[in-house]
Amino acid sequence: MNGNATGYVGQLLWVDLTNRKLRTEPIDPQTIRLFLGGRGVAARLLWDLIPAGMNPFDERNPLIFMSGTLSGTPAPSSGRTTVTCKGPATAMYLKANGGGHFGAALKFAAYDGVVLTGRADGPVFLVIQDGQAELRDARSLWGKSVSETTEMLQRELGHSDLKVACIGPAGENRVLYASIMLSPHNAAARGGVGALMGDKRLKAIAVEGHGSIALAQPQEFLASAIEARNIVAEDPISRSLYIFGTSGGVGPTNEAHRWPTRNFLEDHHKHADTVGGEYLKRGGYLQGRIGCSSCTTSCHRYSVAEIDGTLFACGGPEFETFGALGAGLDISDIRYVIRGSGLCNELGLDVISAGYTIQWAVESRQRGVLKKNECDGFSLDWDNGPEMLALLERIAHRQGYLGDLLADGTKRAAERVGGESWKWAVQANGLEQSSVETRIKKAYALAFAVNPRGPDHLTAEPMLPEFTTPAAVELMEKLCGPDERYRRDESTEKRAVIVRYHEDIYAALDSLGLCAFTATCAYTLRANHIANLFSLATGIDMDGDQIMEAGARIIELERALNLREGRDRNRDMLPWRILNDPVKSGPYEGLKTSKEELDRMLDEYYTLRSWDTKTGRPTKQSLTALRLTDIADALDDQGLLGAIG
Amino acid sequence: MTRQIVDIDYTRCTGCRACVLTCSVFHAGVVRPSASAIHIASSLDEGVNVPLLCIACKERPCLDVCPVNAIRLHKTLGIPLIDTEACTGCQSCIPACPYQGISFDPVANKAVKCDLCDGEPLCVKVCIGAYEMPGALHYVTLSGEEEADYDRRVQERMNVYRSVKDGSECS
Repeated sequence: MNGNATGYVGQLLWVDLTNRKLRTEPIDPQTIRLFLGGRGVAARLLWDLIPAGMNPFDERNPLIFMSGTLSGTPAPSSGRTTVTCKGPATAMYLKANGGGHFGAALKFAAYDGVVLTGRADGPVFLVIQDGQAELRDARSLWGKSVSETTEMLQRELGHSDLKVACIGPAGENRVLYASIMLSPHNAAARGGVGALMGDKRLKAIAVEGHGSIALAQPQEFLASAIEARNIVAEDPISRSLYIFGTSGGVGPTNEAHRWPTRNFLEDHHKHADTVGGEYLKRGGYLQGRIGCSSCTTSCHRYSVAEIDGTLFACGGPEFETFGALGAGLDISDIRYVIRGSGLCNELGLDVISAGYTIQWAVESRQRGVLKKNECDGFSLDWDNGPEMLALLERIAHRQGYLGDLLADGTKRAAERVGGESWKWAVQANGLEQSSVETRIKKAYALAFAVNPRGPDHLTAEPMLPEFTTPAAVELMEKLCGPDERYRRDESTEKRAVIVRYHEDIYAALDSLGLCAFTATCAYTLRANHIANLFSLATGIDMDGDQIMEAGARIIELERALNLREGRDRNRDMLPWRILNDPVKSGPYEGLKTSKEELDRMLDEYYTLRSWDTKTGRPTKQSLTALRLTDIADALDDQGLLGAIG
Repeated sequence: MTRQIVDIDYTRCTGCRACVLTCSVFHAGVVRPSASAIHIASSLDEGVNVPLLCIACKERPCLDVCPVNAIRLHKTLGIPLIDTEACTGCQSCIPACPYQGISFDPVANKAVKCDLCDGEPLCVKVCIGAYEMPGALHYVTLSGEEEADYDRRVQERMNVYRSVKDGSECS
């Protein structure tokens, strides 16, 4: 162990599943200084571990669990854990990040993270207890749901405060959008991290720790953490997230006719009044709130509904769940969204990809591209809650023709089914897009196009232009100047500046284990506050600019990783429907994000990052400026460096 | 004598444990849940979280049970405090408290209980309730007429605690 580490623990657990060998290796302070922790350190490990072009299911593909450098501390909303690998769905760099208490528990058990390589010859689980770790037989857990697995492990190990990260049946069956659940209610969901875990025959990681996390300056850190907590909490958005959750945004988004409905065919959901976050509360479904480690906001819901005399509970549903499993399927009964959300968590499915894949199936059936004999008796129509629930089960178990077809996601399903069905597969690079109207919100359009894992909102969520909170207005002015026209969501100007800010700070937040809602969404917390927390915890002095630079370094490294996988400007793209099918009604009727518009924003973005505008590749200058000289040399050797403008 | 208490509304607890982490940093200089005087019992299944902390009871059985007199009543705060120098880590006090108000820190080999942070409890400052949201922890002075209601709510909370204890998480 790096015995001088404070804030972070200073060691990683390495597990070779093929040979069942475990070892511990230190993390040196220089790695933390450059990559901050969590997501950043994992990206660096991935660069060193995978050869270019490798099949994601190659057993060398590592599955890396990382806590954040501030996880487990009283820093605001510091409960995030990152899972990194080459992505099963996209065959590119992938990080999936989730909340809960798993990352904190890892650190109390004396590890910052776990790096798993190889493939076990039968189902296993990993147990980590206070610096000791071993692999155990998981045959009795195979096939079990997430909550069953969690309960069985807590019973078997006899420890009631055991934290469990595990896959459900979807991961076991290598559904390409299987999640890893960090608790029965917290998912690291996107891109198929769970499919890789299943491929490795790793059912679960159970963690229990009673150790300490040291802090460089404990009392100063505590004072800074309390100040930061107050700063986050004073933002009105934090309060709104507490009251209504992320899904409180459904109503306003729908009223503004920007709420993707029926697979992005429409932008207004006629049932949104009773299928959204406000109704969750008003209708009496909201039972409580679930806090991630040290959370100041508590956006996560705990909801209960009854269908046909059976009670169901779920952690959620989130805004995106109401999109993918609600408006997207034109669901009129909120209970099916609550049940669908809970079912996805139990089966270990990413709700976004699951919902959009079912939406694709419904549209494909409606257009006659999916033939009746391919539908396994399903009618595949809109607003069919019971069918949605049955399909989720089929997908997780790859049951029947339809279950197996949909388990591979929209890109591959469209390739199998053919016709023009690829046009309504709302995906790019193999990832289904989140429920964000990127035909209208141009900052999101750019962020989604350049997102290393595909078109979604969890690598940079640039909601800044539309926000009217004092902190958002001030930050917007700082980034773009006072001109009001940049505040319009449909403006294509200055989007690169906005996206870069979100990407850089988001990378820093993920690496420190802080929630995105501390510094984006609620825009009150800034890089200097984050730097202060980092310095007082680790003893590594950094200011706000250096935190942002570290964020940019992580983005640059992830770009380099993807470059090796063939992703450059040609694949910085959006789903076909976003680029070609205009919005059909409402105040934004006729709007789309055309290829030309996207190209202009990309030019501006690459220029800002000092990348080659022709290819979208990082250059020797951009890499060297961020102290990634060895990455620059490696890309140069492979002929992948961008040309200097 | 008035009672200064950290009043707990368990129905508002989200289980985030900011209080637990903060308490340990303030008192032990490190983050270690077992060094905290406040703990949360959670049932993820039922979405219930029950904070456990010294309730400043009037009977104070902990005072009598300590074999080395390491637990003594603080005159102004009106609650028993543990003299950590004197505590031998024998753990006699832990089962003596009917409210799970004392816990054991195996690393320090000491019993741990709330000292109200000398009159400014930090757990209250970091609870979501500090931000004008209806949080779980509130530092209040209990008047005579509020006592019965307070005691009733403590009993209710302990009943819920006992019901979630089986298979619960506690840190």
